[in-house]
Amino acid sequence: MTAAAQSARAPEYEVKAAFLYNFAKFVEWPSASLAPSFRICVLGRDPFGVALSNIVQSKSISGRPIVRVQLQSPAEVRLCHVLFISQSDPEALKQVLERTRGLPVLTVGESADFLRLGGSINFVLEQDRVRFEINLESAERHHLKLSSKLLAVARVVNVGGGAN
Amino acid sequence: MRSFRDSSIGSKLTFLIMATSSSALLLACLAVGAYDMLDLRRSMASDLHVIAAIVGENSTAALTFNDANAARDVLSALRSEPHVRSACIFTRDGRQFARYARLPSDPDLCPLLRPEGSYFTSDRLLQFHTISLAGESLGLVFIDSDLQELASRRNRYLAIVAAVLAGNGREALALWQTQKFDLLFMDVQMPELDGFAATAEIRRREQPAGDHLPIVAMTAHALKGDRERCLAAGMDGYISKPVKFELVQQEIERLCGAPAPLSTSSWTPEKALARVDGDLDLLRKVTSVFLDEYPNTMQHLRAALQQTDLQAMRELIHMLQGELSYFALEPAMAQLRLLQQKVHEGDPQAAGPSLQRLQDELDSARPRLLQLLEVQHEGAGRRG
Repeated sequence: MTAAAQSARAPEYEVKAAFLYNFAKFVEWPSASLAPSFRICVLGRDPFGVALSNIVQSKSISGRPIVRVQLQSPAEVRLCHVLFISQSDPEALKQVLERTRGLPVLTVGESADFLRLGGSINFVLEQDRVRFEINLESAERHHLKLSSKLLAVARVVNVGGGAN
Repeated sequence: MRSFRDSSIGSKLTFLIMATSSSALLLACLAVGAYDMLDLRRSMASDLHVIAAIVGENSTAALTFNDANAARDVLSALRSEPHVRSACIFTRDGRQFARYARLPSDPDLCPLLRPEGSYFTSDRLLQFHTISLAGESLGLVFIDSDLQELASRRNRYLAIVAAVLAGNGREALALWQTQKFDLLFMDVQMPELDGFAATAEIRRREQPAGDHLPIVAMTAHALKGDRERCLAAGMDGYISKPVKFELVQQEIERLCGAPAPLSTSSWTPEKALARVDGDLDLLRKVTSVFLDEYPNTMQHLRAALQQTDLQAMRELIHMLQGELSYFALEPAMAQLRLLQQKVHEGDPQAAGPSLQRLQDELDSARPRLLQLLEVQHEGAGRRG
């Protein structure tokens, strides 16, 4: 895992790692997507380092162990429940998100265009604090039910049907 | 009481009906009130528990994603609960996360953490509730609710009780007008027309004829000033609740002259004899010594009272108690206990009349003690 080696150890990513896991408590996946383990995937550079490993080792989702998967190619996205994409290049992002289309995958990113390009949750920094915005329509297209409590703590952005 | 015994069956019936119905009404009222208050407390606690649970549930995401603003939004929904004074959300490590106060100036926000549960104080209901998500504890919500509803309900019941009692005060007055009594025990806690007012009214009405009905106050306050207030109101005595039968008996004896029947009629020489396991010789010795010495002891007591030497009084009373216990003379023992109580309360002024009553009691018991000596002689004669 070369990506992990060069990962930033900033608290920001500890918070983001915790959030990746916590989103799962407020999101409902379709029953068909249930697997023996709950998979959190990272595509591209992995900025989390041990922060995500710690969570994966110590927590579970509805009694299922959490597995962290480092994706080697966008083709593997159907394995994931949560997919974190560190990529910020719009063209590359668009391709990856296209691959997730219709799949029960919660896509999480951290770039300005992420929601507009069809992502579901995007991390933003507000006064050095990690917050997130949600594209509710995108989440619905992925057959995910987001809890109203999650929406209450997020900035909800509906970008329209542009990135179908 | 003779006048009651001699009054017509009709008046007795009226009296009994009045007494039983008003006390039954009062008891029912108190019982219903007490039950209702308990019930209300329970339901208030369970309501607040539900509110706390809802607040906790709605703030799980705020705590999870460390969003204090969202938690404040959740708490501000409590504005629709008029009884909630303030509320706080704490993180799992006890840090204050968000808070709400109905009045921004409210000073006592967010107390120290306590274990989950409902806590009643005199005027507040505090609720602590654990916030958890998927079996994981996230923090704690605290809600502080006033007990205005409880207080207003209680006041309503007190008003009903007052109305019943006021009825009693008037009834007492009406009863006095139609009957002749030897003695009246007056409950001073009768709102509207309380015992003081009723006494004053009786004193005013009996003045033209020069009558004086002995009135003994019954009061729940065992305060010193209360006794003076009763006497100042024209009452002749004072008994504090809970009412002890022997004190009632004592007041009857004191104010009506005749010894109360129960206490004396039950006394027999055999009772005294039983105290010494039938040892006649011992009883004779004790009796004659006591008859010789008690006037002396009483004199010492009076002297100690004059010098307000309470310690000496305590010792003398203790000595008398030991001696008197041989004779099973309950009225004298009761009087002695009363005196002891007055000394114990450090109230020498009240001890004076008590001491006199003890003296009277002992003097009136003297013939009985002499009788004891005679019994003994007979017994000794039979034996010898």
